[in-house]
Amino acid sequence: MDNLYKEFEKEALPHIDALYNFALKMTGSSDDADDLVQETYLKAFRFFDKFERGTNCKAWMFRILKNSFINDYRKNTKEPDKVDYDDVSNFYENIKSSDIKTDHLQEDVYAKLMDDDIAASLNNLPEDFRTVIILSDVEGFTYEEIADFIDCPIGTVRSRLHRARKMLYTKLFSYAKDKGFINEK
Amino acid sequence: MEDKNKILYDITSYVDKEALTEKERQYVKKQIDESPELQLEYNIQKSMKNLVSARITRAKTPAYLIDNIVSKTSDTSKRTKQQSFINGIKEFLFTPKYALGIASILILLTIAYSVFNIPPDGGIKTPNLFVQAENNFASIIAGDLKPQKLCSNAGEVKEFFRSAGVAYATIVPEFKEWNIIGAVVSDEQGQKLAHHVYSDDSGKLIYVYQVNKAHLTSNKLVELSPEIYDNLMSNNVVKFEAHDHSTFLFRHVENVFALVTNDDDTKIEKRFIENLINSNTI
Repeated sequence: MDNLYKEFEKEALPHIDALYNFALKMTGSSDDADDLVQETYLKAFRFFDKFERGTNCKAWMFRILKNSFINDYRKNTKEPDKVDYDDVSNFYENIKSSDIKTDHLQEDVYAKLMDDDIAASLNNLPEDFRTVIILSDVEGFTYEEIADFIDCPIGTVRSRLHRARKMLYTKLFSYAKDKGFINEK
Repeated sequence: MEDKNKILYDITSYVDKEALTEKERQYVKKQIDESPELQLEYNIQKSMKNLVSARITRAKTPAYLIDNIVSKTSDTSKRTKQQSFINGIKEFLFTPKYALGIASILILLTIAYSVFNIPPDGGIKTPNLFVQAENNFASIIAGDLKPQKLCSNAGEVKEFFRSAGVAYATIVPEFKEWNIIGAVVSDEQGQKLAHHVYSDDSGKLIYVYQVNKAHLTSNKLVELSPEIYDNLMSNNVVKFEAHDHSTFLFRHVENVFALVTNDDDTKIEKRFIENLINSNTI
């Protein structure tokens, strides 16, 4: 048991910041994130003997967190944002290249935005889209790991990721325009 | 439309260096180079990926949360390891037919706790006041036992006990250095029994389980060995020390108390128990 505990500490604890931040993004509340992360670690420890050594512990922990989130947290809170995928699709497909100058994609435009603005725009994405961006671009999970996490085929992961980045772009674009970082004539 | 979407999603895969063969990558690159529209798609995907990677900063996990998790998982680890040992010890000590003289019981317990560093025990089924108190304290620490009533003053606690069916006079003193945080009423063979909890500013807990002394002889779930019972009736305080908590059994007026705490045991003895015993709060 001592060895198991030491192994658990070595394998699982280094991922706590990643899990905590993901929990914050999912719940939107530090108190709920605290509870969710604590529950995740206690469950993970309880079932650590079932963890397949040599596989990705971070992905395993994220799966436990997701299940806790769905089973324990979400059932006590409001239903998540429902996404009409057709609406989303129509929305972003309406952005044509002629509407956007390529120089708006230069990083210096977005460099003017505060980190908080970017985080707020990300947080405003519907949950399904926010999740894939965070898992891919913040946590560095592969498509396969994300597919496992969201229980979808890899094709769905990449289409959702594509749409999510497009949605984030439109939000940041209009944000930057409102702040006067982009002048359109 | 399907073809158009496929190339769009392939661009995402291209940016992420995922799910494409080398040949497919070259094909996507060619398409991007040749089409301004696809160039825009590529730029959007790439710039958003880079922006999120670079600018979404991680908050540090609060230290108290890490401490909580480490403490709870390590505690579970030790508890599982020592479960069978403590079960055996307690069964031996609290089964009347094995009862020894009280002095040797206390010495034996003190040695067992200090040498083997036995932590608070969860899940023990042997029913008596001591075991129940230790189990409840472990459940409170593990977050498994929540107060039925959150309250901060003695009046509220006593009113809660009364309204929840506790049929004996309860003693709930107030202290400057410990705040009342909540209370529970349990049902043990139809008798409603009173529990309440204090905390100090550093988060140390004092859990108090009080019954009427008549319960010790009338309710199997709280009865103690005859030796301990005699000591309590003689107004002795019986103390058990573990490496991370202490348990005290004592009597005041008509009530018998089991107190479990992870606070300094000497402080509890001198400032909490003595004050409680010397108070006339009923």
